[in-house]
Amino acid sequence: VADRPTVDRRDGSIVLTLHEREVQVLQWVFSDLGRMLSDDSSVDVVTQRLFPRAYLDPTEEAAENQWQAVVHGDLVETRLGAMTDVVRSLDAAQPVRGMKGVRELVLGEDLTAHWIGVLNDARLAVGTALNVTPEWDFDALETEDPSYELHALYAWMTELLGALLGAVGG
Amino acid sequence: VSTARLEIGTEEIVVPDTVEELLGNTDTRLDVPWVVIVWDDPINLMDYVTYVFQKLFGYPKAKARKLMLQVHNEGKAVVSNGTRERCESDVARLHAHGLWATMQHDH
Repeated sequence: VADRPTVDRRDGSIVLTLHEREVQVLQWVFSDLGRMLSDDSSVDVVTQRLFPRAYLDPTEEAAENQWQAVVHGDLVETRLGAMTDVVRSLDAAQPVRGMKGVRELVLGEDLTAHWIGVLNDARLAVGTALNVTPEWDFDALETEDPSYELHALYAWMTELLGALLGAVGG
Repeated sequence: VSTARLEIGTEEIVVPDTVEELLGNTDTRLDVPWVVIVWDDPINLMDYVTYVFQKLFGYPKAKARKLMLQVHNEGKAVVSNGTRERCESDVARLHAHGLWATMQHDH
């Protein structure tokens, strides 16, 4: 995963062009994220970031618990539903004529929104696991860093999300 | 505490002045509105936060971007306010989009 992602607009849709290896990486990332979202017993920094508290005031603990009881299941279901759509679109990515190993996805408005949300969740999960700070700089990382590949994935997903947002906003 | 009196037909209805009086609750915080705060974080992209503010609150891009910059530069920004229920709903919608949002009394 090294190339800059290609996102274009065509006839009112967003066209996402990916190498097959990038499709495979995203399938792996989203599958891993889906497993984590489905695991209610998992309480770590990543799940705490994806499902933060509503109330910071400790005297509102009862309200916090009640709010979590009402919304947590919906938040999980919403995320998993969007992910199912995104993974289906990845699985259905079509080969591009004349470009070996390249596939493209044509995304309508709703599916584009799901892609943006799921990619953002994946960045939150990976970025939190890597303890990314505002000073994070991929170019400053040594290739010998044991987390180098995960940082590379994070950097690439950042490029992809930025390109999708640019295509939607532009 | 003053009360208003309405006469409808032959019935006299005493109308409480305050929610506190209505509920017989001495917790004066019931009268305080709530605010939803979005906090800065090192992962969410500036364009993404702007996109979410546009999508969830229907803000024009310029207003959404201004609010995003307030989050980025000041560390947080109030993005909505109202009743507890309204704010709980907004926090849930922001969390569904991966933003770090909390709610508190508007002191």
